[in-house]
Amino acid sequence: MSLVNLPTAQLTFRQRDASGSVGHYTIHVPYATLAAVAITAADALVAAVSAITGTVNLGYELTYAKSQNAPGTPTAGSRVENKGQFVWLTANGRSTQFNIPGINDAVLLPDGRIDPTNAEIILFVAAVTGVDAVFASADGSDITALNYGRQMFRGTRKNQAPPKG
Amino acid sequence: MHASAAQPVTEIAAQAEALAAIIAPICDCELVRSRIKYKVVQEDVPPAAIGSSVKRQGAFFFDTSDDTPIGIVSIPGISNDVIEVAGVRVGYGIDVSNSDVVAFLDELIAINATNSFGDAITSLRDAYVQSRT
Repeated sequence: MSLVNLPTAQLTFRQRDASGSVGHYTIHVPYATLAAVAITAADALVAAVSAITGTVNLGYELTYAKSQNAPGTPTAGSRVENKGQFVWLTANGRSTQFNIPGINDAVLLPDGRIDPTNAEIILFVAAVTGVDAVFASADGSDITALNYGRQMFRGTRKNQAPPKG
Repeated sequence: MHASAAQPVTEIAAQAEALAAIIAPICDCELVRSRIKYKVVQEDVPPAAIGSSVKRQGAFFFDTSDDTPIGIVSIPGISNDVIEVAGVRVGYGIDVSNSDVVAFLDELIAINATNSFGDAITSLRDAYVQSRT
């Protein structure tokens, strides 16, 4: 069981027309293409495309995707709506958060908080906040510490609901 | 999760996969997919050309380095300036001798663009206008 990459990375460009509608086009590049190289290429392509279209470029995304080739079996009864919400402090004095779906009950305190003394949580926090860690907030500021963590439930979507009977 | 956009994808992927292994014991779900996205946003966006529509697309069909698959790129809002104005393809064929079209095609090949299977785009097979609803 391992994460395997697609053959390509995808560059998806967003274009806006005179009515305000937004359309997309996608260009593939080999997966091994460095991000910096792909972004330079994308900038060149934006210029080339602008000459053959009446739309304007709003931006683009470069995506490298991987899929598990043999996913394991989830724990019986696990639900992605049962989340661990982790709120972090960042180097610029702000905060950022992300949620882990299907949080394990073993890392929760009776009141629903994440147990910061749990050995697995300590390991997780160290990995996110480590000096060499790349993880950051959306504005690019380093994550420095866990502010708090707690269990949160999200509403079940129709396609996540168990069978009706 | 976010990471600095200055980091190479190999570094982000390595740390993300290491973190996934650490998260596994605190999560009852199984990891099935990961994506690393670099987002670029234009700061100053000029108005689009009057009358342009993303529904009117230029479909470019490419030969690739593999015998069978082809590559397709659909450009929304294709300009009337690159549509053929004479001949049997008048009004829908894309003029592949137009200098801007040639520059676009050259750029695609120069950046080593491929189809979704990773086969390199080598040459244009055909190009014409398609309308999307």
